[in-house]
Amino acid sequence: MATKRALEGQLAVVAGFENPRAALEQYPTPPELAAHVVHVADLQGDVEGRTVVDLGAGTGMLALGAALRGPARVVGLELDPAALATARENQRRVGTTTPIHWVVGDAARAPLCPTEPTTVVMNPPFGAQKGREGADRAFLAAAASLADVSYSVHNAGSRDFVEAFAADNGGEVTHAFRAAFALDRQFDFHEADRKEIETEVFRIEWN
Amino acid sequence: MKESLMDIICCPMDKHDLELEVDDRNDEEVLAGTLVCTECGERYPIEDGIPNLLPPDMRD
Repeated sequence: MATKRALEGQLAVVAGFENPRAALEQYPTPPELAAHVVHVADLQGDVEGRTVVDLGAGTGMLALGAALRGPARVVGLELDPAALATARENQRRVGTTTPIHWVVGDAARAPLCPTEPTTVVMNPPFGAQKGREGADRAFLAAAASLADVSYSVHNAGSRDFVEAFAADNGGEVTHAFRAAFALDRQFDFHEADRKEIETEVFRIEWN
Repeated sequence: MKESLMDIICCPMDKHDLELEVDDRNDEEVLAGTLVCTECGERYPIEDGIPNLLPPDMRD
């Protein structure tokens, strides 16, 4: 298996949102975070030969990271068609031969009915913006219905919520790890040029 | 849109199978067309090779 650092390097060419929309909490998944999540998933045997679905794929960072680790296919589902246009460009830059399908759709009413073993990877909106509270709950519900296994990125302090949600929906958190990353200023309401974001990543097995 | 996607997508409203109507394609992909729900008849466009499977109330 290639190293995590090699994967980070391959993902460094992936572009973010051209016109990020705060309401959708469109911040780019940093390559180091995507590489970390995908590498752990690969070590667990959750990528190779499987169907990998990225819910809220944005410009494709997690989807493309997974594509570089030999899945049967990848589906990137995203609400914003402009983000997917960038994702398709990013796919060319990354140069993977894995079949990748980009689909415009809503994770809360996902147009997906996979029959093969499926892994969901996602960096859902944290629900930090007004009117989007609980957005990550809808994404977890989608993972519960689609996936055998999911990996999701949440803001720090989400562990109790995620464990309770999983338990109520036939799931079990098997792994949890912290990941910090720096986010560059991209919205006017951001006060600092650069901010450290603390996140928690959870692996959940769904029955 | 690659045709192999048909194995995994379904209608976002009722989760029933979709039928593919092709308007334009190249060797690899369907570039334009429509996905039609075999149950409720809802029609979902494929534009620039990307299927739009948003529920009708969320479409622009």
